[in-house]
Amino acid sequence: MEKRLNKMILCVGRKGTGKTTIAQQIAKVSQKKICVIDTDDHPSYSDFELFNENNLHKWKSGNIRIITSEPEKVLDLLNKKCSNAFIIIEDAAKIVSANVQREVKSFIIDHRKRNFDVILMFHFLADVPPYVAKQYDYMLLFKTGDSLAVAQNKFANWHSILPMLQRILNHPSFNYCEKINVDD
Amino acid sequence: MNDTIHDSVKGLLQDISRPTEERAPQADKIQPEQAADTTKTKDAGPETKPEISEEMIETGADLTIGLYDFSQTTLFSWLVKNKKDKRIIRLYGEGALDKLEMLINEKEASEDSKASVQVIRSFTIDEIAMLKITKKTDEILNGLPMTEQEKNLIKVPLMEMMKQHGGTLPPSWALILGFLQISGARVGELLMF
Repeated sequence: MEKRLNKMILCVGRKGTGKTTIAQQIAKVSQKKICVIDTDDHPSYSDFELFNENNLHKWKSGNIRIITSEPEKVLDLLNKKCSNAFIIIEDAAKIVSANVQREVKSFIIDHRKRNFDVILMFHFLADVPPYVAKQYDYMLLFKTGDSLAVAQNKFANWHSILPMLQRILNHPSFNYCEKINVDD
Repeated sequence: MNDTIHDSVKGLLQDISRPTEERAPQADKIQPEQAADTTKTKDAGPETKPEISEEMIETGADLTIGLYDFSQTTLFSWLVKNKKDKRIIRLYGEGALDKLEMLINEKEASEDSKASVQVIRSFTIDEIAMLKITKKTDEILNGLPMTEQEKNLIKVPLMEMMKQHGGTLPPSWALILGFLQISGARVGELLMF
C-alpha cells in the first residue's frame, strides 16, 4: 500500500461552523492516537481522557486532551517524548502566533520526524502565521469574517484561496467548507 | 452537517486513512516524496538534530550500569574465591579445602545457636581461622553487587553524559570504564586479605 507523509492541516473558520467535528473525523480515520491541546475545556472532546502534560511520557495509547496555559511546554514535551500521533491544536492563534516560541516552531517544523499529523484550528485566515502558511498540506476553509487585505499577504496561493472563500461565503449553509491541497 | 461538507473532505479523509510509514521517534529518514520534490515552495526549516527521548536514555543508562555491575560482580567473585582458596592451601596444606568444606557442613548442620557454639568450641584454632577467612570472603562477595541507591546515584550523571552524546556512551568513556574494571580487579586482588 502506498505510504503517505504526515500532514499538516489548517482548519479555518468562525465559531460553530463545524471545524471541530471535521477535525475529529479526520483524526479518527488516521487510526492514530489523538492528542488535543487547548487553552480552554472544549465540550466536544469530553470523551477524551483529561491528561496532565507532565505525564506525557506515559501516553502510549488512547485519545487525550490537555488543557494548558503553557502550550509551548506541551509541544516541547510532545516533540521530545512522543511519536506517531494525531495532534489537534485548538485555537491555534493563541499558540502559534507570529512571535512564535522556539519550542512551537520546532514542533511545527519537525512534526514529520515524530510521525505526527497535525491539525491547527484558526478562526481567521489572517491569524495564520506566515511560516505556517508556507508549510501546510491541506486547508479546510469554512466561513470566516476575514479582512481579505490582511489575509492575502499571508498565502502564496491566494489566487486559489480567494475564489474558494467567495464560494464559501456565498453558500447558504453555515457549515459549508471546501478543501485546498497545496500539491494540487 | 450536510453531505457537501463530507464530499469536500472526502479526498482528505482517504489520504489520511492511508497509513504513514512507522518510524522510530528519532528517525531522520527523508521520505522519497520529500527528497524528489524540488518544486514545492514549502520552507523545510533549519536542519535539527533528532531528539532522543528521556525514556530511551534512561533505559540505556540502566543497561550500562547493569552490564558493568554484572561483569564486575562476576569477575571479582571469581578473584576473591580463587584468592581465598590459594591462601587456605598455602597456610594449612593441600587437604585444607576439603576439611574446610566438612567444617562448614558440620557448623551448618547444628540446628540452634547453642549447638552451633558447642560445635565451634570443638574446632581447633586453625579450623576457626579457616572459617573466619571464609566468613570474610562471603562478606566481601555479598557486598559486591551495587545497591539500588548506588545505581541511582550513578544513573543521573550517566544520563546527562549520554544526553550530550546522542544517547550513547562515548567510546572514550567505555574504554576508561574497561581500564578501571581491569585495573580495579588487579588492585583488589593485591589488597585483599
